[in-house]
Amino acid sequence: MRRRLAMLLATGALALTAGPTLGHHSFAMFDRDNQIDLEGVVQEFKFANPHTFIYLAVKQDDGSTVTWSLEGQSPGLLVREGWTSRTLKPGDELRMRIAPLRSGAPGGAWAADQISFRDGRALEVSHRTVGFPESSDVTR
Amino acid sequence: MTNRHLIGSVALLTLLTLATAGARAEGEGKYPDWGGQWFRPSGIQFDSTKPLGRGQQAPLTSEYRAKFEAGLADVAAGGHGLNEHASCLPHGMPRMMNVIYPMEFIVQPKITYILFEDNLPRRIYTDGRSWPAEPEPSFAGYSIGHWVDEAGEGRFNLLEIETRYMMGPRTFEVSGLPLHEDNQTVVKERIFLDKAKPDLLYDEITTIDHALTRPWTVTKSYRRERNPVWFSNECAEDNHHVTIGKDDYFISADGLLMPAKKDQPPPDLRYFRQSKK
Repeated sequence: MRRRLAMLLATGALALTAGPTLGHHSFAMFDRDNQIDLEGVVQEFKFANPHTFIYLAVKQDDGSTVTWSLEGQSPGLLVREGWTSRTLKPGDELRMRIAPLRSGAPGGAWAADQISFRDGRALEVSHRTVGFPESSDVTR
Repeated sequence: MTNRHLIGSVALLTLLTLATAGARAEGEGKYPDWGGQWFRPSGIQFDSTKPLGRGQQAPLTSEYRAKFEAGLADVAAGGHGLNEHASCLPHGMPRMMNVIYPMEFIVQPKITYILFEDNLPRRIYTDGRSWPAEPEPSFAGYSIGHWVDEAGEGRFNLLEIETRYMMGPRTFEVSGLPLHEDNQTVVKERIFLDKAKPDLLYDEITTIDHALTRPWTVTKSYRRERNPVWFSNECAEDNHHVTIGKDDYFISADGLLMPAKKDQPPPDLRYFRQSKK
């Protein structure tokens, strides 16, 4: 699967609304102003506290695979939006726009309205949970 | 009836009696109806009418403003600043009343419990007790409350609470807005329903703390869900944020440490045997 690492300019078009929040930690370690697109295969969907994780296997140009560790909203919040631990399954092919770790390591944050199946199927959940958490804004 | 059945029947009767006693206290007789599930209206900040962080305009002393700014600088670089809850330390008071995930009141004549999805319960003693002589501190502190019938109608409408003996470190919110390291905080609360909207609850919180130049009063509000579904939020279950020394790291999909900040060095491994290359 092709890895798309299109660095996206922090334009108004990408300004994400402040949606439901994460009170656990600041999201400052994730670079919301320089989001990237990933395509990959779900290795595991961890519907666990304090926050959910998607482990996404992303194929590199040289044929190797890197597994990204991608943090999302808490299960308690997502489940109130219609998500379950079965919404995503190993093997699902996803397109995601993420806020990557500032360090450049393969980690980042995902938002429920920035994710879709690669074949175009829609996620059968509410998209009220939009945008990255406003705890990203603690320094502003 | 066998002994086992007798014991079972007595236990069931006891539970039913306790449940009935609890139901009597909640919304009947002298106590207000605070049943159901209470959500914050929006936002995760302490004063929900103002933005997070500097926008709170907290009356910090110059010393604690400097600490706060240093924490924000760390956050800007990708760290967690003064917010030690990132490593699952409890919120403590008064931050737990930010109610990131919903809360529930269990009103009994001698004690009121406030239950949270992501915090240990608060216990507010309303049995007329005095402060203990040598209390052990806790993040939630020790709370004594008094019910008040403001209108003199024979029914309480207000719970006044004073909380002392907290331990730290604690912050007001995720931004790292600090409370003093001496943990001499006193939190005074007034909890009451809106007179016109019974599904709207207020908590007027006044924090007295040596990190502040004056008592800081914030009125928080919560909306009621009368048909609740509850979930648990155990922070330690799968937390990927690790603090070693004063540095924050992120756990990879294969369970190893990754840097959180740009050009961040690995942690100090002086206590590990170093292999010679």
